[in-house]
Amino acid sequence: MPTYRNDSGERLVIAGQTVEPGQKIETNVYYYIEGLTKITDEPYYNPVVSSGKLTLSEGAEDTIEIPESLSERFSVDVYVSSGEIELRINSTDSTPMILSAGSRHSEKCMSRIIDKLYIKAISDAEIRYNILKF
Amino acid sequence: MPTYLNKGKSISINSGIKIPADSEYETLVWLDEDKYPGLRRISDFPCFNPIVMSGFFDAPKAVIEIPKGLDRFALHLYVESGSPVIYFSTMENKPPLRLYAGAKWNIRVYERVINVLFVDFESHMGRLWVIIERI
Repeated sequence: MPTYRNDSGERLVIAGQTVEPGQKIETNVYYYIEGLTKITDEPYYNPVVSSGKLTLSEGAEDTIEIPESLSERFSVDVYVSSGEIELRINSTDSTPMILSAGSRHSEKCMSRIIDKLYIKAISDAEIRYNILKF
Repeated sequence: MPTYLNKGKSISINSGIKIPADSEYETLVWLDEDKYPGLRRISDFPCFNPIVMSGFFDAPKAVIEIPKGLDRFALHLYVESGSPVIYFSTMENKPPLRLYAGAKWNIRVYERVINVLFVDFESHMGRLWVIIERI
């Protein structure tokens, strides 16, 4: 969401919004318009809400929490780079998915049907995950 | 966008556009010359091409700039090898997208909210294929 200042000396219309000379505008979009000066790039667009790499020894457990800010429209992607894991959704009592090296599990959630993912390494394992809003 | 020359009488094509006799016409559409007597394709160019960029980037680091003027685009990512960590617009913008060997990832962007991608592979080995497609 870069911030721009109107240095054109004239009134500009940016995405339907009138920007008077000298006025600043925050937008999601990068613009290349004569007279519009980018003051800062921040805050940045980022569809990734959480990501990480987990390295687990045999028998070790870890939890991936869905950030509280996500109430709808997000995806969870778990990839096992090496080893073998049990993946349980929402509860340690859930029936596990067994994922081996090279396996990927993805869930697209239109509402917050997933709160936590519980991972247990069956053998030494390396996992990468991404949680994205869409 | 082939170019046609109308050597016959003035004609109207499907979209209602009139092509006068002895005039050239550039269009995005490939026209059926059998359907329009006198119309002759004189060039296949300039051709429609949705691909803005395609190529691969090797470890350990890469910078992928989105060409200026491109507002609506799809990013197609394929990891041939290695584990690239991808940052949107700046490496300070966390969390990054963490991909892995064999991953295929598509991101559709309807406004220019991404200016550049920074790729930082987890190791010195790896190759990331990138296609930027105009949508």
